Amino acid sequence: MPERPEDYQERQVSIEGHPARLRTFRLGSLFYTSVDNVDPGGVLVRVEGSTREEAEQRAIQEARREFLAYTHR
Amino acid sequence: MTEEHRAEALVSTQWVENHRNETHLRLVEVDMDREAYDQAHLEGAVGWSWQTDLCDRIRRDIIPEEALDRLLSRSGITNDTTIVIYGDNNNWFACWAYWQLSIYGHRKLRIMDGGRKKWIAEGRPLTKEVPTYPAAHYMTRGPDVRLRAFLPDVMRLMAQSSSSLVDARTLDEFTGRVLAPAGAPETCQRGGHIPGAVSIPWDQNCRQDGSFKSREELARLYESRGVTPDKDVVAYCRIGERSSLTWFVLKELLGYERVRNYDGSWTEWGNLVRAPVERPPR
Repeated sequence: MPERPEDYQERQVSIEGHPARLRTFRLGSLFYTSVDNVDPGGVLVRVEGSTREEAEQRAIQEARREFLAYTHR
Repeated sequence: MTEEHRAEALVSTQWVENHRNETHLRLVEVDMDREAYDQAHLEGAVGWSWQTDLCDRIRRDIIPEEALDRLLSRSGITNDTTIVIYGDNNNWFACWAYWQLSIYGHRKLRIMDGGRKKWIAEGRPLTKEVPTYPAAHYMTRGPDVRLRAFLPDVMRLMAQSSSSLVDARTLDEFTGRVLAPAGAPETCQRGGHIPGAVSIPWDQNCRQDGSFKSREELARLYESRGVTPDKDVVAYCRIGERSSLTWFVLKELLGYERVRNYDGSWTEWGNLVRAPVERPPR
């Protein structure tokens, strides 16, 4: 059955010195978080968790790996 | 060009919620990654991958005609189906799909304004259920090569005052400060931009909620940079998807007659031997 997403929020943080945007919403009992690189906004990771904090922490950890793997300065 | 034309290319999230169960209509989600669709999507929507469904991975080409016939057929889409496309990142890859379907002559195409982000932010329903549809018969028309620019076209237009090149990448990519956005693989040898190109990053087309700016705002944005309807316009970015959104704005929302997407983009140009490149002195 379709469900309505709730508690949509987005905020900017810094991950390994790079601007990053977290977007989180809840669908049923799970929270879904994505992280993008703000400019241009490419999504780096998507994760889910049973709480907002868990989903966002995991997302930040995985995004850190993506930034370190691909970004050259 | 009128607001009517804009209304033909764009539908609102509310319109989709009201009409999504109509049999002549098919919702298609195209995201930067397939995981978004797998997490949840609009009820009845099929999910296409730009990396596997909408390209020829061997030739680095858009989807071949026969493959598109198969994709549409298995999605239950006929030549008369109205396809409403949406996706993440304010419809980057939705516009990529729209551009390819336009090349192959599908006429009943719409973009859901604001895409996945706006739908979710508005709390509209999602499901994990993947729909199946009876196979349909689809016959591709085209391709319409007037919508696509290749390297020789760009080489030729670069030097003409009657043309405009629009670089839809970030300013840091345009100036050559970076070779790729943070967290993305570098796919070129050099940084900078095609000589004569103007920088109009893709996100300048959109509002905070993911929807497109008004026709007046968009016209002002492009015309103030010399990108006017009387010119041959080519949009490019890194791999051609951000510039497909620019193409959509110029062609479908502003009604420019001669606008093409250069999908070879910087991944091609930035690797060419002896190709001219502009970048500001450091």
